[in-house]
Amino acid sequence: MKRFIVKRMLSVIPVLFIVSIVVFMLVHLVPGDPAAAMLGDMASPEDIAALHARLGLDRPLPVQYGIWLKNVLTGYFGESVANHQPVTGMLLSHLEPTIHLTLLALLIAVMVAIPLGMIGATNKGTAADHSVTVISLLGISLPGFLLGLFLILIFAVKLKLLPSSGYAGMNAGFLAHIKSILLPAIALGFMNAALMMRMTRASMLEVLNSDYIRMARAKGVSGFSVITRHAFKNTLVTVITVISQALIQSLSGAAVIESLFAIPGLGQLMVNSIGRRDYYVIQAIVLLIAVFNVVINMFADLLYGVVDPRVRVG
Amino acid sequence: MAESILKVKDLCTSFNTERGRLKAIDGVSFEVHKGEMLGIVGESGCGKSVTSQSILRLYDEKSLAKYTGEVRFHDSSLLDLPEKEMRHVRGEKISMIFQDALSSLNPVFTVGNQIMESLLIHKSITKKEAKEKAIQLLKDVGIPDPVRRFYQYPFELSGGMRQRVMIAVALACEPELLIADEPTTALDVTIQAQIMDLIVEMNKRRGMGVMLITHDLGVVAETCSKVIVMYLGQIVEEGLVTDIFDHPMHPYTIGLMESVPRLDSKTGERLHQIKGTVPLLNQIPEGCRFAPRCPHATELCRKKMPEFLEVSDTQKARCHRINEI
Repeated sequence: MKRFIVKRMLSVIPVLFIVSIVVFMLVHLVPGDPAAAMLGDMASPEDIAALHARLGLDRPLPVQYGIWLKNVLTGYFGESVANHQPVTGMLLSHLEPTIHLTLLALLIAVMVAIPLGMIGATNKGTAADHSVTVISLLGISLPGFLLGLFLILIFAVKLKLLPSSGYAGMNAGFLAHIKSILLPAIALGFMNAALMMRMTRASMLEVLNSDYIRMARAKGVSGFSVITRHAFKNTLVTVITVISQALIQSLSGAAVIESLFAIPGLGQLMVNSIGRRDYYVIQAIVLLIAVFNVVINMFADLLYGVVDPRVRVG
Repeated sequence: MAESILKVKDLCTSFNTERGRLKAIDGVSFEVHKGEMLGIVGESGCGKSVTSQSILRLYDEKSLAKYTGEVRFHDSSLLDLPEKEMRHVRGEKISMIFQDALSSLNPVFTVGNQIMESLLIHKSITKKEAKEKAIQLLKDVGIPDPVRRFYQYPFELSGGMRQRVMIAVALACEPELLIADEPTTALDVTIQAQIMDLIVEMNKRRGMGVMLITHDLGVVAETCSKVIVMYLGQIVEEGLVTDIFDHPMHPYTIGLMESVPRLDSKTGERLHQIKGTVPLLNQIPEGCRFAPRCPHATELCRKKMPEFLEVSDTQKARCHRINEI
C-alpha cells in the first residue's frame, strides 16, 4: 500500500510539469505580441517596449519560464495588468466563495444522488426506480442557469426565504453565509446529482447481478447488509470517480452560476479578467484549476486503492 | 435407508421476462438423504441450477421469480418460510458452492473476512473465535499456510485455491446439505480431481448430504449414489448410479452416455451427438419435451406428455417407449 501511494504521488510530478509549460505558453500563444495585446490598439512602440522590459518578455523563452516557475513556486503570480494588484491576493479573495459553493453543491449532490441511485437499483422497474430515472434525466437536460432562475423566482421572489443574489462571507455569520450560497449550490449540485444518480444506479445494478452477491445471499447475509456492505463497497470505485469529476466540474464550471447569483468567485474573476485581457490573472486561474484537477484525480486514485485491493497491486 | 433431509415435491419456478412468464422448471420432485450424494445431470439450460437456487430461494421474489410446489427441509417448508427465517437456513443448514470461484467471492474483502462472515451471522461466537475457526477451515480444505491466506484477497489466490476457499465458506457452519453447482467446471483436470476428493471426504466425514450439479458424467459415476437426469425443466430419468450408467432407459440419458468419449472407441470413430439444441423456454414442445430431438419419437410422443413411470424399484423414466427401446 505504501508503495502504491508513493508511486501514485510521484507520477503527479511530470503531469504538473507539462501543465506548467502549457499554462506558461498561454501568454505567448496569443496571436501577436502579448504586451501589445495587453496595452490595446492605442499603445505607442515605446510603451510596448517598456512593458516588454518590465515583464521580462525580451529575454529568451526558457529563461522566462525559469523565472516564472520560480515565482509560481514561491506563490507569486505576477501583477494584474488592469489594476496593478498582485495576482495572488486577487486569487485568494475570490477562492473562498468558489470553494464553499463547490463543496456545498457537492454535499447536496452526494446526499441526494447516492441514496436515490441505490434505491433505484434495488427497486429496479418499480415506480421508485422510474422516478429516480426521471429526476436524473431532468437534471441532465435542465441547464444550471435556468434552474437557478427558477430557484430565484420561487425561493427569493415569491417565498422571500433566501437572498436572490450576492455573497455573505463567513464573517457575516455562518447562517447568513450558508443562506447566500444555498440557491447557487442547489443549482450547481442538481446537475451533478443527476449524473451521480445515474452512475450509482447503473453500477449498483451491475454489482447486484454479480455472482458474489448471489453467494452472499446463499451464505445467509441479510438483504440490507448485502446492499450496504457487499454491494456498496464494490460500487464505491464508480462513486469516487463521479464525485471527483463533479468536484472538478463545479470548480471550473461555476462561472455561469457565479455570474447569475453575483458571487465574487474564481469563475467571475476569470470572466472579468478575460474581458480585461488580464493575462496574468487568467494564467494563474488556469494553472490553479489545472492543479486542482491533477490533485483531485490523484486523491481519487489513492481512494480507489483504499477501496479495491486489486488497484493497489497494478 | 438413512433419514431424508430434503424433500422436493412438484417444484415449479417461473420467471417474469419480456416474453411473459416462463417456467424454467416444471414439477421437479426428488429427495436427498443424510450422507447421500445425489448427482443432477443434463445439458446447459435444462434447469439444474434453477432447481438448486430455487431450494434456497435465491431469486428475487419481488419482481422476478415465483415458486410453487413444496420444498421440505426436515419439518420446515422452505417455500413458506419468511425471509428472516430463510436466512438461517441459507449458509447454516444448507450451503451452496458455485461454479466460478473468482466471481463468486467478493473481490474487495479478504478471504478470512468472507469465511468469518457466515460464522458471525449464524453462530454466537466472538470475532476471535471466528478467526480461529476460519483458519482451521482453511487448513481443513487443504490450503497451505492458512494464516497468510486468511489475510489475502481472492485475486491473490489460484483457481483451485479459490474453489477451496468457497468450500470453506460453505462448510463453515457445518451444514447438513451442500449444494455444489458445477464446482469443478472452471478448473483444470488435476485440480478438478482434488476438489471432488475434498467434497467426497467432507461428505463421508461429516455425513453431510450433497447435491452435485454437473454435466460431467464421469464425476457422477465416481462419486454419487443416485442420479437425476434433467431435460428442459423436467426430470426425465432417475435411479441409482448403476441403473443409469448400466441400463439407461430414456433416449436422452442414452444420448448423454453415448456422447462421452471412451478410451476403447475405435480410432477415427465419430463421437455421438444428440441432434439439435435445448429449445428456448418459450418454445417448449407439446407432448414429450425431448420428442423433437429424439430418434425414436412417434406421433404419440409429439402429442402427449409421457408419465414419469417406475421401471424398477430404483429407477424411473419419462418415456412412452421404455419397453420398446
